[in-house]
Amino acid sequence: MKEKSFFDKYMVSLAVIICFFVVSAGVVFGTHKLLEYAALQKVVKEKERTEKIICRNSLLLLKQHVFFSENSKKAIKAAKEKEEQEKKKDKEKDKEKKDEDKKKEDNKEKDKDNE
Amino acid sequence: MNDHKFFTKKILTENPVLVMTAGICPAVAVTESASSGLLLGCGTLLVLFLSSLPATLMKNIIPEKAVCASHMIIIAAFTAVIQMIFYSWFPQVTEEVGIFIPLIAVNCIVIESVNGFARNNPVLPTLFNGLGTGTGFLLVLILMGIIRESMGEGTLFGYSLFAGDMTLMPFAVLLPGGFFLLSLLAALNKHINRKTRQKEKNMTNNDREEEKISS
Repeated sequence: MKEKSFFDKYMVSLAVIICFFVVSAGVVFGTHKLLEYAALQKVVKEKERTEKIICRNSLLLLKQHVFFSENSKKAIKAAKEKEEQEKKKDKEKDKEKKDEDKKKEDNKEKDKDNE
Repeated sequence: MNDHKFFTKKILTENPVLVMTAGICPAVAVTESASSGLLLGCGTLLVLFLSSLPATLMKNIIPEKAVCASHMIIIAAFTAVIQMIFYSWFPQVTEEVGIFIPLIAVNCIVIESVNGFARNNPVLPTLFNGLGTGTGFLLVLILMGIIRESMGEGTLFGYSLFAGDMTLMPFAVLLPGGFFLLSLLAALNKHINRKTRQKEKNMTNNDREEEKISS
């Protein structure tokens, strides 16, 4: 009877081992890719969340800016009105003073005429 | 034997660490903190369970000469998968456990369970055996981790138990403390096993006497 060669003896075993090796490598590689994808998704989600927060914050800042600018416009307007009113008051006061001075001068002239 | 008995047997009467004295190295080296023990125990349990399944399902396909190599490849693949998952989910604790996670692949508990039990038994007993062995190992690791961390560092899972930096027994965190605790647990387990065996013996004797009286 012819003796089996080394290849014939161990061919099936080797093939099985190689199959297991390839499948295991595939499982490990697949898991690695899956975990990588999950980590990437996590990063993307985190980025989106951060972007949302930044957008919300900048919107709030914009609203604040609008609010402050409107308020400052109002304040400027009120200050101008107040200034005008004060100017008017000053003018009236000046007028009153002039009138009083004129009256005083008239009285003095009258007194002098009487004398 | 009922299939679920393989599970309960491996937790108490044939516990891999306390009775079979297998996997002592990681049990003593890693259980300085409870979280490390929990992680390594979970890793071993998962590798055991996942490797047992293909090993028992394909026991008729794999030729006798390729059994050892195939089982080693299966165990190594699942260990690599578990290691990658642990690194991405719990990086800090995995860093603490370090080399002992890849070393699950050469843990004698795993090899004995997959190469010794799974190749000679049907699917269900193999799965129960894998689950029981893994759970037994996990329970011992958690118990040792809790005792050593709380006694030696005054913390449990990182949270401090006592006010200030008080510790009850700093010796517990060191390696001799680990061996001492392991021997205590083994003695306690042996005592419990002996008691339960005695009880079972007494019960069977009583049953026989009752049968004799009734006959």
